[in-house]
Order: sequence, then structure tokens, then C-alpha cells
Amino acid sequence: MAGSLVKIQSVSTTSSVATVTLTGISSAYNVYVVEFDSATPDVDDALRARVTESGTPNTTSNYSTASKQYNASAGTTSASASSGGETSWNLTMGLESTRTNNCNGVLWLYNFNNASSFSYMTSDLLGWGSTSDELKGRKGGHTFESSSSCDGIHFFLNSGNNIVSGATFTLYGLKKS
Amino acid sequence: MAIGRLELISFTTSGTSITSFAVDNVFSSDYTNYVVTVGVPQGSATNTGNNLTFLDSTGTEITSTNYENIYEQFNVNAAGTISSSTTNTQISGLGQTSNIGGNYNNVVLNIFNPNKASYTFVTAQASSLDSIPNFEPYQTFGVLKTSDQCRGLSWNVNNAARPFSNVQIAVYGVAI
Repeated sequence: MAGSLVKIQSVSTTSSVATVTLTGISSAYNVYVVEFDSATPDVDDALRARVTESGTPNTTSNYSTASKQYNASAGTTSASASSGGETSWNLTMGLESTRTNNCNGVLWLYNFNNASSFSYMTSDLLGWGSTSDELKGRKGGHTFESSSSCDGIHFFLNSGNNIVSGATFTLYGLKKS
Repeated sequence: MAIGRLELISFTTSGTSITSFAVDNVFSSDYTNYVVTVGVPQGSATNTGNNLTFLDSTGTEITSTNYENIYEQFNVNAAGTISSSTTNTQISGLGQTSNIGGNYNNVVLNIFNPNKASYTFVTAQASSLDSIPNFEPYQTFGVLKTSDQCRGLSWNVNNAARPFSNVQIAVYGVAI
């Protein structure tokens, strides 16, 4: 029996890069999954993302994030929320550059290509934090509050640093028939 | 366009009245990341937590204090609680088993880079009941802080006096 998780695009970094873009989201599927691993920054930094329209990242202030961060050494959690005024999604906490294969996660993307709906995403992310030298995890929800037809997702680091060689980002579609 | 990117590597069912269930030779260089589902239909009369350890490149269980994790245990009738450790001997907070109230511990895990010579990261969610019974889902993050190239895992009870039975573990490789 053929599977129902269909690979759309995969990007593996073979050198340090400032951005990674996955495209190919269309009306063929309603729900997409992005899995990524080893998205380690070359200098301590945090991963962010934007939707793309016709392959171009949308930089308007329409991004909202609500998430909860778990800090292992402190045994604490903290909320991370932004309401509508962000120009990108805040995905991860600050990540340590010296830890190989750091920064891993799974994103579920909903209604990205539906021009009559906002785009929605849930995230499940973890890595080795650059502060407190500890495991940090985040679980959250995200929305792009514009009714546009998005065709991809664009990753970059908050302070403009690079994602090192060896990172892999893969976009899958979930078959609906 | 490739089809079927979540590829079943192993589906196994344990015996009865055991305190750990090892699934070996499932992680390799064939895949980088894995999805694991665990179902535990039956435990002892009193509930006990479930935890995870990894098997190293020789199949030996890693039980050193090199695990670090944090989890939130939600409760349908109370506020959630946070637990964490930076020197754990396992990844804790993976649901509970018992034979009370129709309990069935259900867990899904994302495991990143287990077969690479680097830290192995894990996210997990579990749903099960305690002995009241209260419904108590879990949200868990964990890491094995060694460079072991792991080839398997072991699913364990926290309290060895409270064994489980008929544990079902499915391991899928995420193809890219």
C-alpha cells in the first residue's frame, strides 16, 4: 500500500547558509508537515520563519506566535506570545552553536494555500540552549493573519547568522484522497 | 514525487509481566530521524510511570546519568506539574501504566539523530490515566548527552515492582 506522507521538497545544507526555503505547497494537500534536524546556528541564535507567496517571503507584520518554553536545568516554563505585530514567527529559543546536530523539530502547516483563510501552524521543537547550557523545548501555535495563498515556508536566524552545513529541512504533504 | 516517506522498520509486541522491553537494531544510517509509537494496554494494579533509554552501538542499554529532560504532566482535575532533571538515567515522563479504569498508555515520539555521533534529541506526547483514575496527558522533551551511535531503545517502568505486559512498539524511519 502506498504511503500517505508525500515528500514535496527537501533541502540539505552543504555549507553555511543564511536562509532555507521550502516551496511546493499547493491545493493538492490541505495539511503539510515540515521536519527538520541539525539546524545549528554558526553563532548562538534563534530560528524564525515566514510564509512565502510565489516563492518570496512575506515580511508584513501579520505573524502571531503563542508558545510555551520548557527549560530543563531550571525546571521551569515560560510563555512566549506575540500578537499580530511580528514580521516573522519566533520558533525557537536561543541555540548553542557549538553543539552539533542541534535544533530539531516538526511543524504542521494548515490552510497555507487557502486564499480565503489565514495560515496556521503548530510547532514541536527542541535543542540545546545558548543560555544556562541546558535542554530547551518549545510547543506552540502560529498564525499568519492574512488571507493569501502561501506556497512555502522560509527559515532564517533571528540575528542574521548562518545555519551550518548538515541541516536538513523536508516538506511533506498529507494525502487527502 | 516520492510516496510513502514514513517507513515502518519494526513492529513488536512484548511478553507479559516485564519491567523493560528492548527493541534493538532499529536505528541506522538509513534514516536520520524516527517516529516511534508505543501502546501499553496492561500494567500492575497500581500505576507507575514509563521511561525510555537508548541502546548503544553494541546493543547495550545506556543507563548513565547523561540524560536530561523536562516534562509537563497535565491533569484533567488539577493544575499541571513540571518535572525535570539534568542528570537523569532515562528520559522520564512518558505516561503511566496500570490496569485501572481501562488505562492504556499511548505515546508518540519524534527521535532526532539517534544513530549519529552527537546528542540524541526526543520530543514526546503521552496520554494515559493515573490510579484515581484521572486523565493525565504528558508533554515531554529529552536528550541523551553522549555521542553514542544508538541502534535501539528500551521502554521501561519506573517502579520494577509494577510490571507491564503486551507492550507494542512501532518504529518508523522518516525518509527524506
